[in-house]
Amino acid sequence: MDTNVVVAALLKDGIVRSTLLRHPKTFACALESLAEIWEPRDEWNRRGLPKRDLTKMLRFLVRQTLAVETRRQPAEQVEALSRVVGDADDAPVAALAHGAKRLWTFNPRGFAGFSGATGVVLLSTGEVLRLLRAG
Amino acid sequence: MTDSLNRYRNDIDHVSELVQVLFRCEASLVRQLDRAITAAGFRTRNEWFRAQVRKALDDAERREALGILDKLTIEGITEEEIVSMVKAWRARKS
Repeated sequence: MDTNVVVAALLKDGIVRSTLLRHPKTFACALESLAEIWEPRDEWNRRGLPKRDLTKMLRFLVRQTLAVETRRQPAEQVEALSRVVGDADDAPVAALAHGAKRLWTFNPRGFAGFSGATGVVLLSTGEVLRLLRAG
Repeated sequence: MTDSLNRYRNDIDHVSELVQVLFRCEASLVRQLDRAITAAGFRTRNEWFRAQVRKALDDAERREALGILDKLTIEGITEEEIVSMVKAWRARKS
């Protein structure tokens, strides 16, 4: 799953959050995505919750909800994919999706070249839900 | 034998401290429990108890995290706004 999907799970009380909670360890997330989200926490933590609470919440996501890929993606693969994806920061997500052959993202335009070059299928939230229903 | 001893040593090395927990309970309840946990695939009461403790701790962690997620919720934020937010973080970083 793309970084923006993880952000949606954190900030939006909606279908993304409930889907991840209902299907623990089904969706893989790059460790780099979590690092990227953690860095500007003062921006999304609008109620100023203490760092302790944010850590607990992330720990829960990592331990019980997301399948977090903790192995480093091979540098040459990330390097090669960074040339194909629109934004080089998306390369770790692309490397993860390359193995899974599917990517849940809100930004299909950003991954269009990557999808064309690798055959990875880009999924909207609606398509993810349809796949889950189909089993 | 050496393998199993090594595994045991490894288990012990990775447990910082073991404590013994004693309970008082009606004998009939314990008999019922033994039947139930055997049917559920647990080999020992200890194995069952550890699983229940882990589950209780996971449930507590989940309840607490859901409360925190509730407080982090930004009403009305859209997928497009989230995509822009991530782009802005990256733009600031570079």
